[in-house]
Amino acid sequence: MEILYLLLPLTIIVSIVIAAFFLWSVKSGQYEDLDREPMRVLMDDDQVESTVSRKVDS
Amino acid sequence: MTDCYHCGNIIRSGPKVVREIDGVSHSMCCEGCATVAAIVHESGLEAYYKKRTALPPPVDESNETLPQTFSEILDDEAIHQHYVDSDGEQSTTAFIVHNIHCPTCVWLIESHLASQPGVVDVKLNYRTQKLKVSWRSSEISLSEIVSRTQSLGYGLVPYSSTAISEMVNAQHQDLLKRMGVAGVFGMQIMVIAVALYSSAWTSIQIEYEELFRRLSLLFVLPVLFYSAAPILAGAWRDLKQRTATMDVPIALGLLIAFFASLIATLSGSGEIYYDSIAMFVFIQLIARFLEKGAYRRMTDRITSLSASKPNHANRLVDPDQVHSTVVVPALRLAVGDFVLIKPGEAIPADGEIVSGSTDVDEALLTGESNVVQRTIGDSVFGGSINISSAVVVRVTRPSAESALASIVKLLEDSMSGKPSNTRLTDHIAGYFSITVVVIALCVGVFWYWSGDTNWLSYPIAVLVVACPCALALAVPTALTAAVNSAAKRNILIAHPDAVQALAKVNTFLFDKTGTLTESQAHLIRTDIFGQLSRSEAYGVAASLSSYSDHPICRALASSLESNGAEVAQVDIEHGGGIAGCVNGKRYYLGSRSYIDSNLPGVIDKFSEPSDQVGLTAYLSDDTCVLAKFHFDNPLRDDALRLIGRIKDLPARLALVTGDRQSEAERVAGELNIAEVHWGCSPKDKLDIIRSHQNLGECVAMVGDGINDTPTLAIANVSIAPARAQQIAKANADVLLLDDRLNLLVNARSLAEFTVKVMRNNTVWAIAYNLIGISLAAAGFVPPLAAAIGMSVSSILVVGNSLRITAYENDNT
Repeated sequence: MEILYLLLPLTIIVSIVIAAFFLWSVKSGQYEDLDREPMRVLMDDDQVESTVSRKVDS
Repeated sequence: MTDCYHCGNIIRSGPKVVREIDGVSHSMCCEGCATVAAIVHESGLEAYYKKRTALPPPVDESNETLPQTFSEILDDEAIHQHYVDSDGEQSTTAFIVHNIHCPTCVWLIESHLASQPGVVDVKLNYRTQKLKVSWRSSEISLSEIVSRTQSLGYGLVPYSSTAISEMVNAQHQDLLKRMGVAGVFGMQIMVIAVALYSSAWTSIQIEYEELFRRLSLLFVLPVLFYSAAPILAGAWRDLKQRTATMDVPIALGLLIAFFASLIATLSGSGEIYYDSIAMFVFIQLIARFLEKGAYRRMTDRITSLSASKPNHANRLVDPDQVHSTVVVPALRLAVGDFVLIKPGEAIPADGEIVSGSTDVDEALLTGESNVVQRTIGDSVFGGSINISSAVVVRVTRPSAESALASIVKLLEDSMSGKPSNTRLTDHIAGYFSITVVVIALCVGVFWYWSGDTNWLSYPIAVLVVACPCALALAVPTALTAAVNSAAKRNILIAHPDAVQALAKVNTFLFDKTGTLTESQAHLIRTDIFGQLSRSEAYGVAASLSSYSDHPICRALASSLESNGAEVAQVDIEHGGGIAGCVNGKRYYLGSRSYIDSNLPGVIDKFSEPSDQVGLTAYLSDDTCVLAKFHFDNPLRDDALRLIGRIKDLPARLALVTGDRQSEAERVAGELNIAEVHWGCSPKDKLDIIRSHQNLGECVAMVGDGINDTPTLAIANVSIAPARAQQIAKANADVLLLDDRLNLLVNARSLAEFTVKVMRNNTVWAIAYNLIGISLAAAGFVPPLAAAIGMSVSSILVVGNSLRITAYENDNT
């Protein structure tokens, strides 16, 4: 069971990383508009040379 | 009969536009639709037609709501200073977009704008309908961006965000973050907790048990001191102000549980309650999140509908010449300027009427819906709506210092300074929470005296079990589900509270024109008498009718070409007619009784063909009748079906219209409506609603026009159909997003179902709390079981609410 001494600190780190990612995603506005995102997937394949920025600006 | 390629409306007989796109010819209902379809095709955005999930309104009609004058003022310096962020080369501004119907519209607008040269970045939020555009000002101008979007049939209004909506959004983000953190770390604590529970029947080495406990302690710190910080702060604020909300027992329970666990962890003996704390905080935050979410939707909707758009003003070049006006931004108006304000327009700045008299809706200022008459010499306030006729106003205060601007500022100040949730439920929760704390104290004292070594766990269990999470979730989850479910059916509920009212409604009042009948009357025939030629008569009628917003005048103005003649000394009798001097000669345009009362004898001299059916208007000079106009205002296709279905409900039905008796009775007869009020001014409509309300009835008003706006504001529930005017939409609680009137009945049955679910939820949650508290006080419930019980009760409530989402109307 000594493996716990490795796994538990790992849990802590992973948890903190997940929480940090979540905070970042909220801050960058990814939860602002949940209705549009599913549509974006459908529309992506079209032939349009869209210059709509895919990046998320805060 | 085919459907229009662009808007999907059935094309009735009449001029049909056929356009060839990609070698296939498509029928369109109007030129507007054909133009949009061509633009969409040329930009290579054809996919819009395949992917869209809702149909837009016909372009010609939706464009009516977009003032064309508006793009002229956009490139003005004053507008730029107010709405545009510019860093020399690149400019950014936010817009509210009107007429967005489905997520595909978002894609269409984004793609179309992004392909314009000079546009750097486009981002449109479907939920809030806010569009953010960055562009290089050297390559494209603001007005071009607006007109490019308008060419697709959408309306764009520059928008400067208000402090309120920014605050609501910041709160939402904050809560989401706290909830996420509680979720992530709470999950870890639960995993460890399972390992610790299993030690009850398998052995666990003491050193690992210690390790697990300490790890839990570590994980609970962010949950308690970050995620639950607003709860603790709220309780602290309550204590300081000597009030009580549910924050108090919750915070007390959390802190007692935490410190008891802390001592147990450090001393290595005794129970720990970290798992209860984490679950508790997480679920509590979910409840708050859902509740706030419903209100956020509402504020978003309201800001986008009533967005303070850059008002334009028709400034008179010369105070004596009513007809030569220039369009300027309202921000540019200076004291002493003269402006012409047409009916339906917002008054751009505070001022004093110098010519004409009109009814003004000052609801925006006073908060009270009332129509007041204003005449020469009276002051009018910026932001109020001119309802009945055109007036000339001398500006007495610039736009930025207007009464409205100062009221908005006061409102924002008061909203940001106040704790956000001060509502009636909090008042009740206050008593509840004090009771819970007292019970917990008694329970603690009792078990301590009885000598139980584990005495602390009983009051904690009481505090945890008593948390009215299920109760807190009961109403907001049901409302959120109802709002979402309605949105899927193309019904927009702007105020969640309207759901309850809609379920209770037992009187439906309908406006006639635009609601039950088509919004436009059509000129079908003109008889010419007397000395004016046909085109002269048309010119005079069109010039006169441009002064009023009455449906008949709109029909005349839209189907006849004005000869641009100046009209002087305009007199308007509401619902009657209009008189004015054209080229030095006085003309009268109006109903038969209007002509008869103003020019006694004229109408009797005139022997008219004996067809009195339908709507008519007369044009007359001082001595004889010159022309007679015949109109047709057909019923909407589904009006009869709608009325039939409302009659199946236990509800009364009435028609309230500004039109004259014969027309009102024709429509009421066709639809079989017993109660009819005709010839109503906006004020009469208010009185009718009040008299119904005084009888204890719950009144729903369905209306679409400016003159319905005050009524929409005081009705228990106000409903605006898809093609209502913008101001009516801003005042409505419920908006029908597509053209089927039947949605109204669907909304009603959805509301009834929602209220039933809410009642279920509440009864269940209260029963759970009462039973839970008694069991916990008696010592039958360990804190963990209390936490699990609380979670399960909350999940049941949420699950029950989700039934609303799945609720199907059997008849759509």
